[in-house]
Amino acid sequence: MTELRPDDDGDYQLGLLDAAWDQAALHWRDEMARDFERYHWTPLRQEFRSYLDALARLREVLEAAERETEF
Amino acid sequence: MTKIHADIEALRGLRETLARFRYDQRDARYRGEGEIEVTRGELEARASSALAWLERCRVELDACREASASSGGSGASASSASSASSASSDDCLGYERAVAEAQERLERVRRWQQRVEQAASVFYGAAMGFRDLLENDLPRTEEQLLDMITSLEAARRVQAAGS
Repeated sequence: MTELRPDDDGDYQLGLLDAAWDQAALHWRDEMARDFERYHWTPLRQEFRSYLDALARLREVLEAAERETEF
Repeated sequence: MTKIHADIEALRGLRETLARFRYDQRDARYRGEGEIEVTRGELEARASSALAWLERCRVELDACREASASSGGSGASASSASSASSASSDDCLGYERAVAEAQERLERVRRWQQRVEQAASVFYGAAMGFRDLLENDLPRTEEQLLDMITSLEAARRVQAAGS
């Protein structure tokens, strides 16, 4: 029933974010960088990860519901 | 790019990545909704179909029981009534099984409907948190990065002018 769309490729999106952060972190290592990582970067990653996990779980349930009620 | 500007370029790259990410994810909150609606509709149609089948099976079972009772019931003694009852369960066994199966189908669809609603509720919670981050936190983060880039650029211009 449901197919993954290209914009749903969460791991790819996370990879892009991580690469950008790694690049910035190479050159940006002061106290502000640590604050940025703690108060902005980590919450962003965690929120996105939670969202992707919830989306994956939702799709599992939707697919199972369709499969298990097919008579 | 000279080494002294590498940090500025890295911050600029980070900011652009965040802005692109925010744009790419702008429909995130709608992403699961269409799929939830499709499954809801599908399950509702299956529940209706299972209910209609159950009702039909019940009608057939009732008719069978009536037919069995009337064929063995008129002027019957206690012993023949008992035999009519026994004949009824034999003749109508198939219908009884069909009713039980139809009931099980309907209950299964109803259970999955509940599970879908629970999963949808959990998803909406996560999607709302992510949406808030996209709409409120992320623009502020981008602004903060822009301020830092601007400050660094200004400081370098002062340094360059003073050197």
